[in-house]
Amino acid sequence: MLSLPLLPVCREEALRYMGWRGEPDEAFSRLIDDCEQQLRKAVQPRVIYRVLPLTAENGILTAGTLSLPGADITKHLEGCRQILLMAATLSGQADVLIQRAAVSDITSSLAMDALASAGIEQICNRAEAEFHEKLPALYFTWRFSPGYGDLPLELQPDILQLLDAPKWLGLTSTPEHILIPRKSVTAIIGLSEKPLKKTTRGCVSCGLRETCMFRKSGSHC
Amino acid sequence: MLSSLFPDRTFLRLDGGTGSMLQKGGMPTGVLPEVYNITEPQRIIAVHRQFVEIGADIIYTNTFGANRHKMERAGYSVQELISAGIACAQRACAGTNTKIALDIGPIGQLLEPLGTMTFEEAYDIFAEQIEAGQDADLIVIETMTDLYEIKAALLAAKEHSHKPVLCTMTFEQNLRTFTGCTIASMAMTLEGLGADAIGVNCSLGPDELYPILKEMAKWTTLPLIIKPNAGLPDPITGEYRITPADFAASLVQYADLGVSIYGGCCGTTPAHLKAAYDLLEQCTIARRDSEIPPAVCSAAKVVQIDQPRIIGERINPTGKKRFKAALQNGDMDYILDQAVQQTDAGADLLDVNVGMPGIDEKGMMIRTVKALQSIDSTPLQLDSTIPAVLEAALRVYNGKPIVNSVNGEEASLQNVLPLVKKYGAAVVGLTLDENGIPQKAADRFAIAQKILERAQALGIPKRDVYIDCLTLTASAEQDGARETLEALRRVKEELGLKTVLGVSNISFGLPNREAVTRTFLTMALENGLDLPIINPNIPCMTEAVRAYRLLCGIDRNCTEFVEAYAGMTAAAPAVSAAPIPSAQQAEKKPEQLDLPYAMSHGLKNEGAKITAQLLEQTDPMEIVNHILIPALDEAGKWFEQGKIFLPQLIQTAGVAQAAFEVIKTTLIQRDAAPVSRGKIVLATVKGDIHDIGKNIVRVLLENYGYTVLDLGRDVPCQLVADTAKEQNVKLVGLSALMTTTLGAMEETIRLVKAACPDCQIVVGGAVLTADYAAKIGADYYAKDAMETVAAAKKVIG
Repeated sequence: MLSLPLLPVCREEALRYMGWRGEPDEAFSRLIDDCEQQLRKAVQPRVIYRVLPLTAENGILTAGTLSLPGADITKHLEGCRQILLMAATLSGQADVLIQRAAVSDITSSLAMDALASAGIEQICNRAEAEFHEKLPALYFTWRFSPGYGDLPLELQPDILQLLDAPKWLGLTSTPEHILIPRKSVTAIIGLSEKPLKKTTRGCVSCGLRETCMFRKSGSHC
Repeated sequence: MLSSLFPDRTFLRLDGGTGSMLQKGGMPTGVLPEVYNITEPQRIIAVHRQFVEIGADIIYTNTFGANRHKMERAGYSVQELISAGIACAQRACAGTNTKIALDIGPIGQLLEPLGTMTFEEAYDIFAEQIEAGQDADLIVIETMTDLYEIKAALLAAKEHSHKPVLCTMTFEQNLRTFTGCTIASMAMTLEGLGADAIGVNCSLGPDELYPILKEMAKWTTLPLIIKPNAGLPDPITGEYRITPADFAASLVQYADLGVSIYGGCCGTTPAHLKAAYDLLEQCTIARRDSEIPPAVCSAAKVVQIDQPRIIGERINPTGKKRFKAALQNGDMDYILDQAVQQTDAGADLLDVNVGMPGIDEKGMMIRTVKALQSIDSTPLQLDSTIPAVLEAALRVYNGKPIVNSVNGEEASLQNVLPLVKKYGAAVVGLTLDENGIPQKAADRFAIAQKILERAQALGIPKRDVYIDCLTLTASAEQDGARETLEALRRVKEELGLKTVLGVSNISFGLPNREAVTRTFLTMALENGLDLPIINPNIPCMTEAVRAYRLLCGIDRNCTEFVEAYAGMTAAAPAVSAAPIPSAQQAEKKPEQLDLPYAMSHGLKNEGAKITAQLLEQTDPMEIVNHILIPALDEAGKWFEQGKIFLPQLIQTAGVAQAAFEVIKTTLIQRDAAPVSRGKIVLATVKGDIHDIGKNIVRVLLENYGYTVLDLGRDVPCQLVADTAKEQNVKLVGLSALMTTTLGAMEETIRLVKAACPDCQIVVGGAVLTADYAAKIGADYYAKDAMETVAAAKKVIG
């Protein structure tokens, strides 16, 4: 398990999540600073991961006891003989701060929510950097999560159980497969001894591509 | 009770890591170990027997996850799995003195407020397990990270059995659990609820748990338990690394802390435990000092009563029309805002009273306590005159609260004190009885003494009894102030009790009330007042308490005082010659500041102030229709044109909201009903918990003068339909953010249409499209909050 304190959050990313384009004015900057300070002080981010062998039987991939259905994950893991299964959370303290802000100031609530989203992304990136250090001989795919492409969200409970995530992270999912605490991620990274074909995470595999506001305005998240 | 099970033991020996032993024995990861109780009992018995053979006093049944939720897919009932688990343990223990503990772990789903499972549901799940495990000798609740969840389990254990209950939680190196629960909160709360021993299991290796147990020992008189892992598992190999000898050497350190119950968790084998038992037999378990500091807590925050602490009095409808209106309309956000304001102003604790004629006080109390817990960790003082309301609040409170109050009347003593004892709260004792409030200090002192005696007779510790010597109005009984202070001083000095006092009443009916109240507060503090109940939003009151702490040398180096007031000299002068550039200070000069400017610049406080000034000469509806709405329309237009972005639109709406609040309060004060354009029901659908979008929509709709009945998130489909029908609304707004919850949206639409065919429905949320919205029967699709307002205008006008 990794315990990573939240570092300063990527401002650009948070602003993008809030729907702000360009430079924020001074007052709004200060509001974001204040929210970020509270968030960084309150959260206890954590990551748990396991390396699992990957097998294919009748075209269906299985990692440990976890079967990974769908064409997209199969394509994603092409050439990989192992996966790194991870779960990360910013902790429930982020949820509480977002709720508290919503009571008296909806703007802070929005800012807090966006900062927390950018925050969990940061934690995942830093965890991945640590994985590279621990597994220097291996090549990594990018992080693929349930809900991307045709990889079903229904995998969440199995992933959490396999990682013992409720115990190590206090991370659970609802019957509708929403992760709680909210600012949490589960992901699959393919591992290979040989260099992998470079692909990047993009809109093609995103479940929200049809309704995405970013795409409509010609950009991406 | 625990010691009577083991009369000859100076310390107790628990077993090791059953789950990790099973895995080592070939159980694949991912299978449910509890099912082995039925399908592979000999494997379970074999693991148990290894621990029985090395001399364990207690073994835990293989029922850690045997709850309804986790065993959904097991193919066996909770009763079957638990009975089989106990049977395995019984066979392993046959012919020995080893006792069997029914093992209960977390449900596996987070409870409210973070999760969607209610406290009551969790209680039912645990009650089922306890009932199924009646053949065990004792109960152990372990590996918990949420104080609320372990409270539900412990309450269920106490109410469904008479067995001793051991409680252990999992802490992190920062001395908190994942959910932020502190060690002191855990110890205080669980001891109060009647646990027989408490401690730590799992989490970390044996050395890393030392500071955790050391802290816990300060906060409880109960026997302490340690059951650590053999270190942390290697993520690549899954191996635990600590050797039996190292494990044993680490464990014996805890004898010095007076820890008396020892075992092992994940990765510990019979060899680890045997080594530990042997070493422990050779050492002496230290005696523990049992002086516990007076304190109350929420899960995440402990407030020690070791210095004057402010209890905020504002969550109380008495004499407040706006608060009463909020209670009548179930306007929880108004109540929560009162909490946020008070804690931001410096309240250490919050009194919560929601009693008024014509409302369901019990239901409201439960809702309010739960809602407060979802946004803030300030401990609460539960305030009601009705014991049933107090009990309901005590059940759902997460931590150790204060009960306000008991008094010297026989009925009160008999009804309230047992509740205080059962739920492990602190209690305020009012010095009045059947004959009213005695005039003389000596008589109030006598009542205080009686309350203390009765509390102690029930086993309520002295440190948890706080006495309120009652403030009388000075304008009516001028000599009363001295009697109150005299009684207070004597209770503090002679009985050694903590004292509490509502001070605001002193100045009732006088001009310049603040001067009188503040002076009385200072006098009371000097006479030993620990818990002043005040309005912390009045700066001079909080200032008096902070200054007192500074002058008494409690606030060392004046740290807190400076932190609270460092910015004050810059902000204080009413006419500032050289304004400091800051967020809250506009570029315009004060006299040119108008409402549209405040709105477009997100100046909330200024917006409220200007509105209050306008209201002195302008008709409220004039302000709404000619200033607020046009400014909002303009912001909405700019937003659509991409000239401003969502945060700016919301900031504008936030200022408008503050302005509306001022208007609303004024209208209620004038006994005029706030004008509404019509009611709209809003909800995030069943199973979905994303509510920021819905909250933004609510604020905007309210800005445009609609009355919004916000049902919150994860709202049962039928409740939306019922509310729409009952309230006869023309428009329902639904939000869903997940593909997995669109089904619930469709179902809700169906039910609403069936209950009230004329009601229109507007839907929104990231995964929706206009086509899909039409397909599931919605009348309108709103891609953003402004479009919802447009739909409302069309449907309602």
